[in-house]
Amino acid sequence: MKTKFIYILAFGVLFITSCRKDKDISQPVALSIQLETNPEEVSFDLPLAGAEITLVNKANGAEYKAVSNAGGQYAFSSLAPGTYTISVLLTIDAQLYTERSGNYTDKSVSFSYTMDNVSLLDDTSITAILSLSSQVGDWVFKQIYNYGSNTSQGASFRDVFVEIYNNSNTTLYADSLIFAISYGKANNNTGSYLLDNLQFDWSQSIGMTGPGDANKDYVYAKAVYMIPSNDTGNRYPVAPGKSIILAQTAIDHTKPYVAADGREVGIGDAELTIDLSKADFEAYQYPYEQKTQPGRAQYRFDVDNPDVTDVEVIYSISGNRDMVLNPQGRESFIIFKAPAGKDPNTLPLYAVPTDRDINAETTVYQQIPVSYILDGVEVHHPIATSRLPRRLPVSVDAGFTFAPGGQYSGQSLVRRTKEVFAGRRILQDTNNSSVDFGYLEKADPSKGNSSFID
Amino acid sequence: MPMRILNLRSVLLSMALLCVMLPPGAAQTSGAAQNPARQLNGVVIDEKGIGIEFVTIHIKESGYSSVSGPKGVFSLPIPSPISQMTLRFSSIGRKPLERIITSDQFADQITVHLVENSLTMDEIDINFRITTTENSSSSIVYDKEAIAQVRAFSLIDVLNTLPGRESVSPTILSPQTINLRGGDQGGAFNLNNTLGVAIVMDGIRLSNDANMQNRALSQFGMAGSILGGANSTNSSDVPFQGMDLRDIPVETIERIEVVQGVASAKYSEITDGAILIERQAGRTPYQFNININGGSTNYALSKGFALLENGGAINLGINYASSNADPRDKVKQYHRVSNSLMWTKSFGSAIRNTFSADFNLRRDHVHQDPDDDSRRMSYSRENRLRFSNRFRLTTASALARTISLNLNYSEGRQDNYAQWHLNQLPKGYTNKDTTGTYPGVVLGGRYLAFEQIVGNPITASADLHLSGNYRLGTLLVNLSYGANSSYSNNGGKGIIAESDRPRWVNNNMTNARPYDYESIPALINTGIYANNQIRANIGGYKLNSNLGLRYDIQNGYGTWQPRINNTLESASGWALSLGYGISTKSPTLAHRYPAPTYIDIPLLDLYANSNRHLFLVHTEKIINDNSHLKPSRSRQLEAGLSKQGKTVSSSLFAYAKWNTDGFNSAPILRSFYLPDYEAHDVDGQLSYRETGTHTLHLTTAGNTVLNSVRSDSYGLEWYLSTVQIEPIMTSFSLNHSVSHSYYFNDRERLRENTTGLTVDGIRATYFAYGPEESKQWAMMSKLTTTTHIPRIGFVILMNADVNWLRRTHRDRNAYMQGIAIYDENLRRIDAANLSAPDLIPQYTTSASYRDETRQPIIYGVINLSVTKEIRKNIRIGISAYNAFNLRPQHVTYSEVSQTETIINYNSAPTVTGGISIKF
Repeated sequence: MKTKFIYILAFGVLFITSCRKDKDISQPVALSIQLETNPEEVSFDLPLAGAEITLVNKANGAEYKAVSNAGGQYAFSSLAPGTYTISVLLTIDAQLYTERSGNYTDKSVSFSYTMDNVSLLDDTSITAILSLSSQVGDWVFKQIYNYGSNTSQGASFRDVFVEIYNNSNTTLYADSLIFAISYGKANNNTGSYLLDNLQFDWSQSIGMTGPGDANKDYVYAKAVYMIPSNDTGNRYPVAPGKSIILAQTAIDHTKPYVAADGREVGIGDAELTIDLSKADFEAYQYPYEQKTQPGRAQYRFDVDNPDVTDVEVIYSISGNRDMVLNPQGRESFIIFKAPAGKDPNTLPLYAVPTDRDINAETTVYQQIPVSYILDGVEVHHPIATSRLPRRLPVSVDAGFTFAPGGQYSGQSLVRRTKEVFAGRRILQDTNNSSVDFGYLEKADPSKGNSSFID
Repeated sequence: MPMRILNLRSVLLSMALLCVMLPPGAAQTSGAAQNPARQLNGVVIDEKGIGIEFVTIHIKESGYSSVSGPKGVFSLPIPSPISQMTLRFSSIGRKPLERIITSDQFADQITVHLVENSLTMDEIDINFRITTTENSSSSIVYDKEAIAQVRAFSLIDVLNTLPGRESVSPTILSPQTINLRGGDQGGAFNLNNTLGVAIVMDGIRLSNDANMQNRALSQFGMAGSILGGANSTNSSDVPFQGMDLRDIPVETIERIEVVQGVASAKYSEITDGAILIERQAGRTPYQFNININGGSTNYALSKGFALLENGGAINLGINYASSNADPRDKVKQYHRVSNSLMWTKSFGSAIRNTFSADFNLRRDHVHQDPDDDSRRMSYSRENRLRFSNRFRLTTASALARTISLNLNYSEGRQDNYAQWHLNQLPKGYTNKDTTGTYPGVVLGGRYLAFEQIVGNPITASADLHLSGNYRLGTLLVNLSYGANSSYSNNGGKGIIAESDRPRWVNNNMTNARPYDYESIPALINTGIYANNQIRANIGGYKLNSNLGLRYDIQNGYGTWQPRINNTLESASGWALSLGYGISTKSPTLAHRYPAPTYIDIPLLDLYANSNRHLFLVHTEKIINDNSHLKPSRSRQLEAGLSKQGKTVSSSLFAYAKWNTDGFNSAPILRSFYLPDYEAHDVDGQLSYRETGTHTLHLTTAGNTVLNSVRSDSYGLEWYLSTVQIEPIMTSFSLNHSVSHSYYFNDRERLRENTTGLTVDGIRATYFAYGPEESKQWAMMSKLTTTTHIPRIGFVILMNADVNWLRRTHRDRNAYMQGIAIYDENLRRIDAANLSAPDLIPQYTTSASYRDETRQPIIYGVINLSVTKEIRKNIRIGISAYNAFNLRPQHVTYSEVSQTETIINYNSAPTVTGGISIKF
């Protein structure tokens, strides 16, 4: 990309110099600017009107400002000849950008162009190739493998994982990125303290306070896991188009266990399960349980792989003793980062509104503001009649997704690839998992091409 | 422990007891008390006038019994002083007969006709009778005809017709134990009640005391340690409780007596009653029975041979039963083979010996369902061989008129197995037998896990009974006394746990471990007793007073057990009875010698791959010495009033029964303060080292057995029956039972604090709640009509149950409210000493917990049974349970749990067809 830019620049300089005529220095000159986007960055139609064009005369500091027209052009008719700095800033509204690009963003997107030391001695035309100057895209779920594999021949619920992808155009740091399992009502029964869709009306939970709408502005989590960090917050850089995997049990589930005497205890059908020994992170809850309930016996299936980094458990209901993802689509998933200065451990906890008798042992769920959420996926049962009330507000996920094989099928939910730019896959993020997600017949933690779907 | 039982102290005590019980000066008067020359002579003959051998003749007044000799001739000593003798004649296949011989007939030659059981006879006992016997004043007796009418697959089907028991469709698919008097509160209440019901066959108690078919009690608790069948089917074995009655076929049984009240001092190990079963020897034709009900069939063949040249009689019985839960598949199946041989022979007129051998085979299988990936399967197999010998000697000595010695030996092999294909992570496991911290092994988590318990129960008993009489003033006192001893042992392989296929691994700080039964000691219980039966006439009333006393040494604890029964009868048919008795039940081997407790605390559980893993564990081994277990004990007070009328008879019994020291398991709270360890690499291998810090580990994983159960039962039983009302050829019998029971398990309930809650700055580790306590009320009625048309040998039985009430009450507050907390040092802090005791959370967060569960509707069931006899040789019968398909439904909706609960009372109708042929 850089080399192309240099070519264009060279070509531009050549063009300018080739048109040069001998003129009186005191004659004003004209400058016409044509804005263009870089097809490597923008493959869609982007309105170029309204870009802010600034010229600064380097000799006297005089500044000229203008705004591009609908064609992305502007012509300065009389400028004092001299050396200028040209800068262009195009700001595209977040909604418009999301619509046009198909990539979700909640912040406006900036494109810019800067050229220093432009000598304007004659009338000049410049094509300014705008480059994307703000972060577009963020962490998204790439793959969610909550279904698990065959209970007798595969690894059952043990080989589940989530893959979180840097869908932006810059390197992001996974430090303090939080994965949470959202909780909702597990049946379609009617009753009191419920919303019209039969989900809990959290606003009626005992002790519920705080700003906003308890149902629309928050998500309630039964387990919250955070990737550890260092002081500087740059421990785990993830390049654009790269991902991290958080596994419940980060071992190679396909490998037989070889006992000390050489006997092998194999998996029934290694093809049904996967190798998670290369996972980046693993959930290990025993230290958390020791903190919250000293003396409690270690959960026998909460095994720790010493070679894989453990995530920090921010919160877990006491019944959830490992990062077990529900295979029946009874849970949804979110990722978020707490804003600077906000300790996620201090997020408030609430009981479900149907629980009217609150005591120390009442199960409570952590309340996460929607404003913190980077991505969320509403997962439902493949069979319509078995679906439960939705858990995530539509602002987090307008749709829902499922893999048709359902529980223990080995299938995983995978975000579709929107496009590939220079080898980087941009995943589709319209904030609607019904269209953004497809599924893989077999979950794939390889991070390779086979783990994407188009 | 057995050595302790046989110590000098107990011997001395036994001797002292006998001295106390024997009448003063008895030895001197014995010779003069009776005139041995006075004999009542007679003959028992059949319809054709042919003498019947082996007829049992029992003299009610003296308790003496004898057997008719060849050609039916008998000779009985006439006890004096006595004005009349009540003789009871019973013989295999014949209708029992009671005959009163007055003193003016004493010199006569008595002729007694015993007729074959037949529906063409005018008077037969098709229903049970409530009567006073030498065993109790409120006995319920089933004679052969009453047993035959049930078309039973096993003993339980007969006993399910008892007053107060709900009638159910015949079943042999799941174990059937019986609890008598006291309600049905389930759990430990029922386990203890059934354990205290003795099954006595031909004078010998069938013991379940050597049954150890349970997993480690410390790991699973008492009821939880019973190994269930695969696919959530019932367990097939009955440790910690009474016998499995479906193993006892009824075809060879002549008489069943159910003792619910105060039993004679002769019987030991009966806190909650006894079922006395009598089989008889003698010549019979071949008899073949078949019963079919749904997937169940029962075949029985029996025959009594008289051996030539006074060789006595041999009775053979063969029974085969099988049952299939669902006739569409063969997954759950039960098979039973039950064979019996009995040889009885008299040696002269003084000695009679009966030897019997019984063989039982049971196969209870849940076969593997081919569609089940987890390959679940289970079986319970049992083979049991029992030999018993009853020797009876008649002497001329008044105080030892009869001496009988019953010896019994039984040995079985029990094998319970259940498998489940596990698919789990590689996991740390240990089965070391010592205390210490060490690296355990790591198992591949995918294997066919199994649990197996192989028992080799051995029980033996010796009972010595003597009976005679002595004179007390003008009264004749029947004295019976004796001693008995029972031995229980189990030489089985025990709990089998292969180190590479354990079913339960690292499960709440416990791991499956083997436990060998071969090395456990035997359990020996001994007892002595004496009973004085006094009959007197007081102002026109007949008094029958039984004053008995037992002394039992069970698990090293001696208990005095007075048993008193008094009956006062008027000439007009009124009778009043009053009884009081104490009885005990020893703990069984399974209670006494459970497997040791092993607490395995995982300290490091790391796994990367086969070559890189570490399971560091601390094991604590605790031997469970249950020598502290006392026998459970019951005290019962019973009063009865009855009227024997010409057309209507009625009895009313009231009882109060207080059971204490019942057995139950309870978790023991333990803490371990152990060093912390961390893993580090040594040459690429994981090793461990102490970090210098310590962590507290708490657990209630180990259970122990305690005498913690108490129950009180009160009840009323009212029986009303009519003789056959001629115009409609129908008799009616109506009985009502009302009971109230109270259950109390004297052990606080514990619950782990999973919240980190602190109270007054104390971090609560466990919350304690009050003992479990519940009350139950139950009321039901049974109406039976019996239409008997002798002319055509036809019987129609209609039985209607009405369940009026069943209500269980548990005080919600007492149940839910915390009473104490335990801190990290397991110091107990009473709630009263806390500033905010309300902070202790309620026992359960379930809002659906209610004070009361109440049967919401009154419901009933009607059963019909028809039997036709053809030419005295063939009987065809059909019984229908719930003949009119009464299945009332009750629906409740819970706002709280948003669930609808539908209860269907009664199960679907079933029909049993039966044929019995004599040839």
